Order: sequence, then C-alpha cells, then structure tokens
Amino acid sequence: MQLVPATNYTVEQLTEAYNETRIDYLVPMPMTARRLQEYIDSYDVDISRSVVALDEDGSMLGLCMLALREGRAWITRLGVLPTTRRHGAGRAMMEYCLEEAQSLGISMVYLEVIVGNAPAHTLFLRLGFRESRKLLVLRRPPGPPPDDPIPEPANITMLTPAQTIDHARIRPWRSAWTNQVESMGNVGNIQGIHLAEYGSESGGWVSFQHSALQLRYVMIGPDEGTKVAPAYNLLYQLHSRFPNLDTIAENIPTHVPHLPAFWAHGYVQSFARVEMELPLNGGIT
Amino acid sequence: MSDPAKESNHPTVLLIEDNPNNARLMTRVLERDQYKVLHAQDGETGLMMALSMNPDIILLDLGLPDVDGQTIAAFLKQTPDLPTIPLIIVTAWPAETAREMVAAYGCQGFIAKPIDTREFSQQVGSYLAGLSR
Repeated sequence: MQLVPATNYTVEQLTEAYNETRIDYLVPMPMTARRLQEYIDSYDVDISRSVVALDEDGSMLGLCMLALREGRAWITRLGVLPTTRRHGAGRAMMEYCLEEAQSLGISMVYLEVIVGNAPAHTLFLRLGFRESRKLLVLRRPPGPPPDDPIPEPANITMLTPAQTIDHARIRPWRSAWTNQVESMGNVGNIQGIHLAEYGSESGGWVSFQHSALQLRYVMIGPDEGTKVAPAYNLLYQLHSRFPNLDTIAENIPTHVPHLPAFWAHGYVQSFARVEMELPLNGGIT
Repeated sequence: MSDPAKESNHPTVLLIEDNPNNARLMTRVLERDQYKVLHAQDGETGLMMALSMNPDIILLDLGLPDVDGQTIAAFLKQTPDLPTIPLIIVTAWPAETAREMVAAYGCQGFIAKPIDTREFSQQVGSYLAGLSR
C-alpha cells in the first residue's frame, strides 16, 4: 500500500472514490463533485495535507481529508473501499493526517463518527481519540409553525450575514466544526433573525441559509446575559417566514438547553454522530 | 398527447436511486414482473421525471448525491397533483428511523435495503394498491 497526497487527483476523481467508499454505509451521503468542492471550501479542508491510499497497482483504496484552522484540525471523509477494508488502509491514512497535524503544531484534532459505525469508532479509540459529546442531525419537513403556544411578543430584527456571525462568536459552547464561525463565513449568505422578548427579557438569534428547496445551517444561540435562548419563538419566526422549505439542522450538541424547542417545532432526528477529540503537541481537552 | 409511459397497462415505477448496482437489480426484478421502470440517478433528474413522466409510484433513495431524499419528498408532496402518487422510501437506514421519516415527510411507506428480490415486486404492488399504507 502507498499513501499519496490528495492533490494528485482531481475533485471528480476524489468524489468518485469517496462515493465508492461509502456505498454500504449506514448513512451513505454520496456527493457530486460540485458538492465535494463546496465542502472542501466551506470547511477549510487542506487537500495538500489530505491523503489517498493506493494498492500495489496504483488503484485507489480510500481517502482521508484534513481540515485546518487556527491551532486545531478536523479529520473528515475517511473511507476505504468495502472490498479492501480491514487491511490497515484506514489506520495508515489516519496516522498520515495526524502526523501532518502534529508537524503543524496543531493542539487539538476533532472528528465525528456516525453512531453505529463500530469499526471506525474502534479505530479512533485505538488511535487515542476520546469521545467529547453527541451531535444530532435534525430534519423538519415543510409546514407552518405550530398554532399553540403563540410565542411571547418580541422585538424582532433581521440580521445580515456579518451580524449573524458576530452573534455566533459568543456562543457559550464550542460549536461543531461545520457550524463554527469560519464555516459560516466560508459558506456565505447565512442570515439570521434576532429576537428579544418583551416579557421575559430573554434574547437570542437563529441563523439560516435558504435555497429554493431547503433551509440549512439552522443554529440557535442566546444573547450575552441570557441563559437559554428564546428558541421556540426564534423557530416560530423562522418557519413562519419559510413554511414551504425542508429544513436541516446539523450537528446540534445534545447538551444545548434549547433542544426541546426543535421537537416542539416538528423536527425529527435523522441520525446522530459522536464527536471525538485528540490533543496533540501538549493540547488540553 | 399520449403519454408513452402509459401506453401499456403495466404500472410505471419511477426509481430515484444513485447507486447503479442497486438500480440495476431493482429494475431487473421489476421489469421481470411486468413493471415499466424509469430511472433517475440523482434528485434533480428525479424531480424533473416525476413532474413530466406521470409515474404510478415513486421509489426514493434517501442518500442522493445532489439533493437528498427527504428534500425531494418534501417538494413532491407540495406539488399539485403529485401528492396522490405513492411515494416509497427505499433505504438501508434502521427501520425505526425510516418509519419516522415516512411519517414526517408524508410518504406511504418504506422498503428496506438490501431488497429481497423475491418480495420486492410484491411490496411495490402492495403500495401501488394501497394495501400497505
């Protein structure tokens, strides 16, 4: 087996390999080349530090991507062709990416694994990763918000993408990689709604990006000084404005206090991921 | 104008499935049992075919490369005339999750992957007849 930088391949070739590696996954999530390129750009994947595994004939066995942000890294899209698993390719590619991260002085590496993917989870534990928390991927089919209860009267303001990112900066929890402010900036056009309830004086924001068919990047956070964001009210405002769009809220940590508001608005759990982390270069969990 | 897909008495199945091996297998089984199969390998093509080809039933994979299955289902269910066409999810997801998605997105049911080639046509037929709802 040979490991080579992913830059030796086009995005189309990487996409084809990625889709092949995921063909039998619990949640396959295939991509087009355009979507993979967006993923690379949105999440700061460094293709020059990402890796492809080859067999002796030079055929692709799998790939593994490394994304980099200040002091931290994220490993993603790890996959090995179903017919060539359990021969060490996954571990070798992981070690390659970890060595890259180590050499760059990265202090913490994160990744996510879908709940139920036991072989990958076991591999990550053996490499020293520890579970940090559970993340939920939620879906909501189109429809208006519930009739009952009617939310508190509030002062409502639409936020520009820049204002939304400013609010997101002060979230009282660490966001999953895909939801961090760097991702929001890279994705672009993520707007928000801010709301301050007159009665309870609690305030908060919800972000979203809308296309013709979907609302994505739905995230909620409280204002400084507010313990729990008025999430029911925020989602009420959001879905009143976009009742015809399918909604995806991805990588919501299970410990966030506003989680019940999602259920109240008809969100259902699509699947769950376990986030794992590994300190490097003296990093502290 | 006559609809070529309706010229025979055989029910027309629109299969929205990106995996060529799965699509080939399902098509072979359904055609063996006298169904007419239209195949779309991504969500956008599937939407266009659903709107233009007037299928009798739609089999929908959830993991599609461009637009995922839930969003396709959401769109189809909101499109005038289409909500009456049975929309069946074909997925390898755990049954409990598949049931939740069926209920949330107003689909008529799901068929588990990998398909059982002995049962598949009958499952499709039951949904077509409204027996499995």
